[in-house]
Amino acid sequence: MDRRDVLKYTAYLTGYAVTAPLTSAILSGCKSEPTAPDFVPAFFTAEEYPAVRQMTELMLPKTDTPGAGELGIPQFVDKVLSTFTKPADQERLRNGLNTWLGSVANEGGSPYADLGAEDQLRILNELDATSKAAAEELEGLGLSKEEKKERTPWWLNLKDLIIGGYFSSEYIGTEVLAYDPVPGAYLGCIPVSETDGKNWSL
Amino acid sequence: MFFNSQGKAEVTYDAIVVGSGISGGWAAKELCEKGLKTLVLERGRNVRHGEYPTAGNDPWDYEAGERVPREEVDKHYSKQNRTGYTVRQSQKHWFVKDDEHPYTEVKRFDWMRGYHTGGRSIMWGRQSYRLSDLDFTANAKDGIAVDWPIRYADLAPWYDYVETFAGISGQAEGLPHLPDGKFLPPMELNCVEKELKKGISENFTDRILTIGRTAHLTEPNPEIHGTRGKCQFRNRCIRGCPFGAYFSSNAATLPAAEATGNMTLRPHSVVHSLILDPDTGKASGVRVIDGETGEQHEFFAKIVFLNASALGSTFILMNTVTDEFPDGLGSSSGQLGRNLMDHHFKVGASGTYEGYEDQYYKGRRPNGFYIPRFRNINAATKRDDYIRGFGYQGGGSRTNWMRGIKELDMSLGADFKDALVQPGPWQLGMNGFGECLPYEDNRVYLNHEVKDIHGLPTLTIDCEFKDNEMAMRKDMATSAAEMLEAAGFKDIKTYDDGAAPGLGIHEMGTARMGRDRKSSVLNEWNQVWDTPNVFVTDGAAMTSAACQNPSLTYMALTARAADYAVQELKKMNL
Repeated sequence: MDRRDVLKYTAYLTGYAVTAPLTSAILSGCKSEPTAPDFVPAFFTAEEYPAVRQMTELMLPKTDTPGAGELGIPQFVDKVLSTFTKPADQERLRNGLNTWLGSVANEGGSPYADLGAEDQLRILNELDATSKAAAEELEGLGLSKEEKKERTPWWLNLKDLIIGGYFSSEYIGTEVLAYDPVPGAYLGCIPVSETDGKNWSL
Repeated sequence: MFFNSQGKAEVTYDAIVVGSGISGGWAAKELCEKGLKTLVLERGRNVRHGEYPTAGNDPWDYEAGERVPREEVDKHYSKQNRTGYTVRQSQKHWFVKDDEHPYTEVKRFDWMRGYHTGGRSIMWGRQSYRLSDLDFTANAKDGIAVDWPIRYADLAPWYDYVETFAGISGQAEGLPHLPDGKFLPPMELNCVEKELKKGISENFTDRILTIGRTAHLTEPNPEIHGTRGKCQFRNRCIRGCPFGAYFSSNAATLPAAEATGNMTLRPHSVVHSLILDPDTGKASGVRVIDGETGEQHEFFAKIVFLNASALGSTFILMNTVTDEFPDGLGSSSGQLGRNLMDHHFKVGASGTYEGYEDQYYKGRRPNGFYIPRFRNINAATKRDDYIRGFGYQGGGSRTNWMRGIKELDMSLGADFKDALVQPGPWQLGMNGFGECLPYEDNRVYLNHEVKDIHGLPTLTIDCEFKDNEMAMRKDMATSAAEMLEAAGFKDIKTYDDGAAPGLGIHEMGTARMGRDRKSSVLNEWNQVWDTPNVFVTDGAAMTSAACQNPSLTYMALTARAADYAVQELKKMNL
């Protein structure tokens, strides 16, 4: 599915999404098949990809706005990693992901992709907390920007791609966030209510 | 083999301008408007105003945001990519391919170049500040390098002149060491920037914060600015502005030159050397390789303006080798290629501001605030650990969804997603830009081993920042944090992301102006001492770097030199 198709698909789905109950979106979103079934990842392996797809949707689920899956973010992340990422960064992310998936399977008795949604979300939040704590520790070490980048936990790099991809997508950028391609003026202080409390997309 | 099928008269002009960037565009405009038939030679492809293919693109118009495929970056942009912002899908076409235009570094030097009509005037930062006598007298007072052969009074009317035409938005502040200019209305500060301004004025007698002075039309005057339009606050300047709202050669000076009917612009014209006439001791023209066909051409004129960028013009001088000048034209002083300077930066501090959660801003202001130099201005501000000084450029904003990666302390899921739709806390950062001293051993020289795609020799760059810059950087970080703290910012962090020259994209000094032909390459009118009908008015001419962004000074020097050149031509002195 190319990006344009994803966007058409999204437009179609949005009307439905508005009526979908929030909780069911969280619980069922990752088990459904929101992406084209014939997608073959270029970077992730067949074992890695389902877990990444589920993590992506758990983090940014469908609510009254589309989830990350509907917007093709897993495919986007796969594309960025396969074609636009340095080999060293690719390897760091892959190694980190596999080590983590391995430990999850050992401790939980089954692969991440096979766990229930609640367990998946709980484990993902644990990973997120430890990753953020590890990144925080890097701050005090007097590391250079490059060294810091190399030692940033893999999950935060993946999270960066997911969040960046989602909020820079056309649908979110033009329909959800405040889109103002030609502002015409700069006003230094306005009430945030003028954007309905939303970020500018650009 | 030469392909000038025409007679010499047909390839002879009154003036030749080499380069069409910020200073070349000005040379073209001034010489054409003064009636000289002028040939402008641009080494790259032609870009007419409006030919900015990515100007309207949004991030989602690309398959992976602004990212460029890794293989393409590795193959073509190994050095241009060092900025972190140049090699993107929306702007990479303005930057050279390093494999086609290699250079050699003894120490890391990030040389960012754009070979096309308009040069780096398309991608420049647009910050525009005057130098003052604090700067023009600095070398003499410090006993460093050589004295500038001019003073502020020599350049002030030319600053007036170029600012009026270019259109500089800014706020007059009455500082002697950062003179006010002919300003268009200033852009606004936002809430937290105003807080910082207030905090600085309440706590420091020697510092102020002002809005950046930038080459944008905030209130165009059609009589002066023609069809150029008002800034639309899109902040996509680096892609080229379809409104012509910021100053570039393409939008401003080249159309003015063209309108006279006196300009011939020849793209794909790689000037590699000057033709010297042994009988007159003057330059009679330039030698060109056609970048598309590889054909060689010669063009002739009474005067030549070198505006090929600091290192580009220096290359042409060095590659003009005769029996009299075995190390290149202008080398008799021993200073050609030496005293290479750039500004050092990437050091400062950032913080967050608690409050104003109900406030935001509209528009993407292509500008930030400026804190003018406040060190070594007078006895009261004198430092023992370094000479010269620095200014800060910075900006405040509300964080966006990217705070979800590390900062936002929330469980992942629906609430997390919704929170990221809303603007986050206010943050503010300021980055110092410091003066670099002229050091003789910071230099460039010809490299005949490494050739470019035209088979021409290339440059080797041997340059580093030294003790004075390093001592200054410590103060640049500390002083930034001190001001943020005084203004009530929280979570203040200083940073120093390292200092290798080049990334300031302010190469200067390799054919410096001076008072004595024994110690400088150019005289007070930017004439090469050895061949007075050759003028160099780009960054190469700078005798010291000051800490201000230099392009405005190149514009003023160019307009002044062009005026002088035409007067001298009329007097038959050239």
